[in-house]
Amino acid sequence: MRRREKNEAFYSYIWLIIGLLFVLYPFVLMVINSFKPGPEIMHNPTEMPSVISLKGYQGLFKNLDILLLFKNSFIVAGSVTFLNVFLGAMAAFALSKIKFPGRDLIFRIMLITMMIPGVLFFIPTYSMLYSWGWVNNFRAIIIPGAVGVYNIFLIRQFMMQIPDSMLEVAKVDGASDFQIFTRIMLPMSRPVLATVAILTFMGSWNDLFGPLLYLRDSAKWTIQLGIHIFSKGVPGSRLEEIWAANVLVTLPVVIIYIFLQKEFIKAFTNVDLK
Amino acid sequence: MQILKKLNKYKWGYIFLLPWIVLFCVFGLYPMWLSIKLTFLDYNLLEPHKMRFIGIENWLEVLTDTMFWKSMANVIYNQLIFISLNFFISLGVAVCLFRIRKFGSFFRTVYFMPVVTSVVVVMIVLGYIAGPEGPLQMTLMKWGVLKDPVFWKMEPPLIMPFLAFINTWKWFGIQTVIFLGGLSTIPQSYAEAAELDGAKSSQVFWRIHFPLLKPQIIFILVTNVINGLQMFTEVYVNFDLYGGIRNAGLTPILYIYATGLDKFQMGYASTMGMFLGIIIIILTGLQFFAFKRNEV
Amino acid sequence: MKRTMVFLILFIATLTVFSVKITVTAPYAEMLSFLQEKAVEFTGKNPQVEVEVIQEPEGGQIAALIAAGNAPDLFIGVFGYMPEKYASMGKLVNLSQLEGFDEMQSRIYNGIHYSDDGGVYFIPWMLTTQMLIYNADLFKEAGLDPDKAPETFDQFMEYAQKISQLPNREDGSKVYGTVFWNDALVWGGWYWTMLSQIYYNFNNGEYGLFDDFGLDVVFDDENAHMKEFLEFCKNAQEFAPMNMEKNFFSRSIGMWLQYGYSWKPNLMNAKDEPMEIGKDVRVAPIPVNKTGWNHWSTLDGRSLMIFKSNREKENASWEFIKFLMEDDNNLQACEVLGYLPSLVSLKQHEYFSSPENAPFVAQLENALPNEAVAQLDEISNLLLSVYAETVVKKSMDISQGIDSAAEEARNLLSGK
Repeated sequence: MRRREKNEAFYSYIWLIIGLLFVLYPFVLMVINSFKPGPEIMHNPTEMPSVISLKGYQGLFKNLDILLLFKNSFIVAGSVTFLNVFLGAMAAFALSKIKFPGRDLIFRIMLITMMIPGVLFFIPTYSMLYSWGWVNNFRAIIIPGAVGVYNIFLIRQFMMQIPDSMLEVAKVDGASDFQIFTRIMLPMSRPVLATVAILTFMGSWNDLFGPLLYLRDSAKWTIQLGIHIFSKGVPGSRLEEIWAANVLVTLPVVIIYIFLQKEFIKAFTNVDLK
Repeated sequence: MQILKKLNKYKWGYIFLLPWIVLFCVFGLYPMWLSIKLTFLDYNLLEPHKMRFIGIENWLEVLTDTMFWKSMANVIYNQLIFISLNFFISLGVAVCLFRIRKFGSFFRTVYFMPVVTSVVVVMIVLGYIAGPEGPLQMTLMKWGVLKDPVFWKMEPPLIMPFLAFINTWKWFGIQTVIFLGGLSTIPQSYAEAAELDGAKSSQVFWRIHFPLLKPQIIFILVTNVINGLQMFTEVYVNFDLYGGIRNAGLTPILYIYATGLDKFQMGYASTMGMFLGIIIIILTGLQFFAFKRNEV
Repeated sequence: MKRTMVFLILFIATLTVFSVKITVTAPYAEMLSFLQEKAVEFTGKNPQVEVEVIQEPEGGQIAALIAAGNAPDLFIGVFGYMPEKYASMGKLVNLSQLEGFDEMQSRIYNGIHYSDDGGVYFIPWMLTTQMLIYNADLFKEAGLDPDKAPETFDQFMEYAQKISQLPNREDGSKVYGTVFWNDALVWGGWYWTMLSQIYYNFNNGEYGLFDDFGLDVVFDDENAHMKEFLEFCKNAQEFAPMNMEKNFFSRSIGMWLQYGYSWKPNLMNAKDEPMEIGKDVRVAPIPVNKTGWNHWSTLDGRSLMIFKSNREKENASWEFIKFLMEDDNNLQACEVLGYLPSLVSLKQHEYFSSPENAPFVAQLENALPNEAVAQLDEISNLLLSVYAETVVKKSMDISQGIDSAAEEARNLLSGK
């Protein structure tokens, strides 16, 4: 039996290493191409660059204010994440630990709305935000997405598991609901808040739809919108820069992910692996 | 007086929920109400003075709109391929990961990496790799597997398989981890008992492990269909607003987008949005139902 | 001291009272930065007008802008269907009624279009024409005279065949006789403007897609020779790669029929070293169906439209148009952005009489503007899918494709 297990493990390693090549190849190619001279990207796709060219990166800083795009993306994704964590936790706290009339009704409404994807109402929402003059302003993306029902739901599930007795003790000591929230619930819910933060941040950072709809001034573009518009120019003319942009967009996310991989995997899959 | 007292007692509950309630009313209920209203109107965004009430005409039009159903068929076609590819690859990877002792977290970390990348970048990079002059097809042609390059963006039957292929690369990490999580919850003793009875490892897997993964499988299936119905960025970055040749890349959301913002037919666009919403609600209900039954 | 203060306050007050702010959209980054420079210059001369240049909203969102009553004042688009589409909804200012239009018109060489209602809805800011570009080195290698471009489509085909028989290049890439930008077939109806110049040369510029009134399609008329056009493309495709990732600038393509003036920056990025017109590459008019015919091109370019708002803004936008149409500014725009001038006065300018630019200017004599029919985009798309199926995939019979496209187009036009 031990031998069989060893055998199984051996073949598993082989398959996993083959898989590794498939997963890593696009990342490696991306980096290689970002240092290739333009014509070689077009004409020698499988070869290594003949010279290391920095033209792509240089052009990127010259033609596309990439630092500004990063800043914009951070402002948008950061605000959306902060609001979702904080407001989501507030709502979840009320729904899980405070008793008041109408609570269950509200929760049931939430469950129903969770099924309706907001993107289906983008047309009326657009006209509404338009008439408010919110277009071309970050708040058109930040405010409507400030608190997601799914996030409330996740946090509520977690908070339900925190024993009421802990709150009772605090209450006896004279703590108000607000103090209980900030001093006990928030610190104790850290794992689920991390999940919410990661999901929200990634969703917002990688989103094209919202920025496409609402941000039109190039000074307001997010990084995703920036590279999308950039990549749609005359074909072949900005190859190096597009590949350099791909690397610059992907790199920070991958680095953060590698440091926080456990939390990331937990957030996306709801599975806690050892 | 009594009411005020009560309100004071319960105030924190309402205060904590207030941000959500306000945002929900403004950005949820109100647009939904507008949307419902729009479904009964013939409303051209640029000619508001010509707006008129047309009853359920928009709804009837959705039912017979070949473009809309084409977009639905495209998405279903895409999801059939995506789901099966994704299913077998992630199941295979999960089983491999489950069987090894060392380096498990290393492989997992790498396999999950595509999940955190952006769709825009993935479409540029993998679109290039899989493109007719990209390294993949070049290599296949060198090996003689492929005779002529394949121009997937121009071959209506191939568009959705290619997008499914690219999306599988991006998303299989999630499913792998879910399956892996499922496998680790299955008690080791089940498999050991079977092995003692002389079962082969493949038999152990298909008879013992696979049936126990059913909850994960159902969950994944429905989530995929719902996500697929909302596909937008993947096609938006590759085609025009009508999904390229013979609308083979058209998805429902892209079609709604084009109807509303290119043809200016706000009433009809909203109707399609509502219609899609109803389909998604039904699917979610089915998922819920399937889960319930599974638990019994 | 006090008096100066009062004066200053009064001055600022008048400025704010009489100042107008107009918005201008630019479709891409280079034009955006060019216009931003010009906007500053303009405000320097006209302090009461503030010009804000923004990126053109993507993917049809301009509609939402207009609907919300917040359309840009000055919109930079293409020729033809786009102004027509907005004009038919009553959203555009009829420029022919503005002060100084006649003077402007007299200075413009080509591209002023009178709509069916007698109005003029756009000013042709800059123009572009198309020509055949060919690789002189490959011509020599194939035993062809690089000074003699193909005159007819038959010759073109013969040359394409000869060039495609050349051996592979050093890096292993195959040599093709010609290329078409087939990738663009999936990006919407505008690509028809890159095929129509070939079609026009099959009927001596006598037929477009529509009749004179935009009420019916004529491309299925026998004399329009749509069938011959598609057959030509189908045959030429035999000597062409399937898309433009291997494009003319990779030096493995003999001839390209879709070279517009605004492709110029791509010459710089050619394989190994920049290409130079007149040296390693040459340009010539697009071939014709029968010897002796005129060589046609489409006339395309960038148009300036004014969206209706209020008198001050409309006038301010018109002033900005006049400013952009001043000789120096127009020349600068053409140089920086790679277009041809629409002004008579610039035609003879030395910049445009250089050997690489002169042929494009000369081609303006035989350039047909895009058809200004609001349904052009949809009907072009129909034809493009016929093109894809008959020429690229060869899965459909050409006559049958034309007939079905014509039928669908007629349904569209009659609003069925």
